[in-house]
Amino acid sequence: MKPRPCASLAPPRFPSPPAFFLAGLFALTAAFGCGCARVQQKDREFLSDPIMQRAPDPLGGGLESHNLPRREGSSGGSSGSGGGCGC
Amino acid sequence: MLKPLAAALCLLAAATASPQAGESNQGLDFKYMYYWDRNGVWNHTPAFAYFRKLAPLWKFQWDQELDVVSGASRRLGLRNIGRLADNDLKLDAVTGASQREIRHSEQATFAYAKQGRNAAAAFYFSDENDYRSYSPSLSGSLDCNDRNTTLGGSAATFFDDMHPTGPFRGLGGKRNILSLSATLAQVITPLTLSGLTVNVLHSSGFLGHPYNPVITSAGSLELENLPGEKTGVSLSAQIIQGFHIGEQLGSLRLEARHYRDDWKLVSNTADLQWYQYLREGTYVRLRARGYRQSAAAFAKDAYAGDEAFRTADIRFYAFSSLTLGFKAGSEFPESWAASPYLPDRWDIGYDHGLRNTHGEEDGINPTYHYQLFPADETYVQGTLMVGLSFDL
Repeated sequence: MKPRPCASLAPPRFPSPPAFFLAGLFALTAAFGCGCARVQQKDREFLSDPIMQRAPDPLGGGLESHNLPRREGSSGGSSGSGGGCGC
Repeated sequence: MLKPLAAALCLLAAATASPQAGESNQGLDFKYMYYWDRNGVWNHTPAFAYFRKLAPLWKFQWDQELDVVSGASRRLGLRNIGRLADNDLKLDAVTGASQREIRHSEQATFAYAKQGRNAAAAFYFSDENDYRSYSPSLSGSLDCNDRNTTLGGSAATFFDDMHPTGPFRGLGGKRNILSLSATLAQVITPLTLSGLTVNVLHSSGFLGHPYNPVITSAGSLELENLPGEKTGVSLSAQIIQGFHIGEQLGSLRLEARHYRDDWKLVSNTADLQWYQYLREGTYVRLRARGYRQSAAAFAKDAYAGDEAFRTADIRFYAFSSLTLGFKAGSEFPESWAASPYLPDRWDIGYDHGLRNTHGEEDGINPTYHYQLFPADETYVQGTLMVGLSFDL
């Protein structure tokens, strides 16, 4: 089979890392600054829902953080530490 | 390999011997993951996580994973390439890796939680035919600001030992990894969460592997030679925004991660996920993840042979990837909840990955080099994951 050229899969165009980094940091700082307004316990019913959790599927997320870097060959693309297996 | 699994099963049997009605002090999650790629490499991974509350403030958890792979993952895409080709139960003379590999890992965790103060200690162990790893870890978090803000931290260290078999026996070594992380999570509105995590990784020792020798411009094979240390930092930010479509809750989550290390490798990740309830207990999730990384400073397409460091490991070269995923989950009938032996929830998901892989046409035999193909190619891989959850 003749290899298909990669031209149709252009890499995603990200802003330069420093700009991306600073913009994200600024947005988060602003978001955290809004934390001065506290959400009362009685208003937090939706925050406890599984789809609002930071890790809605801990076991599945753990398997993915182990499998994805070794199969994709990525560095720093997941929360894995890179240790723990000879992958 | 069977002893840890047997111990886990005994623990599970003892824990479920006397279930108490009306309580959910223990639970069990099963996952089955199947991976495939366009070259026919596959990976079967059953795993489970069991937790039990030992006392009002203490919890124990056991995580178990088993991997059965058709090609050791270092040999990404090298099926049917090599002097012996990829025949089952034979060693490939080019990579030295086994054709089929079985790996298992376990982790025991003790956790404490009281009024917004949490702490956990865990011990991880994994073993495969050419690699063994031990890792103790500690983590903790503190809620403040009327539990709207969470500060967390964790520390883990890995004691790894690579001991290759076959033609590359004796070429491995020990590796140590220290991972430190700090997290800040903030509730912003009744439907908005955000988080920021900084992670520092320091690795030292034998950081490579001998399975992909480097080819020089003259055509000779040289063993990979990597620096003995690496320090990397990642910063990840996450925001979760809830909303309602009609009466059904949905959430949109965006996670961005930036990583860089002193090997000059830089990567960026953006992961967007949309969760949406269709009715009570039933949800779907759509996902799009983009990733791009640069090459490490010493990574070259061809080596003169006099470089201080050299590698043919695909992980240290530039590439980008796109992953699209779908997931669905729901609950089983309420009548099933009366029995601890019937699952309470299920989920199924599939992620499809496209990875651009640069080929080469400079006359160097691509069979031995890291490139998968002589020309640019789109590498396709998929991951299916099925899960069952039990409230015991």
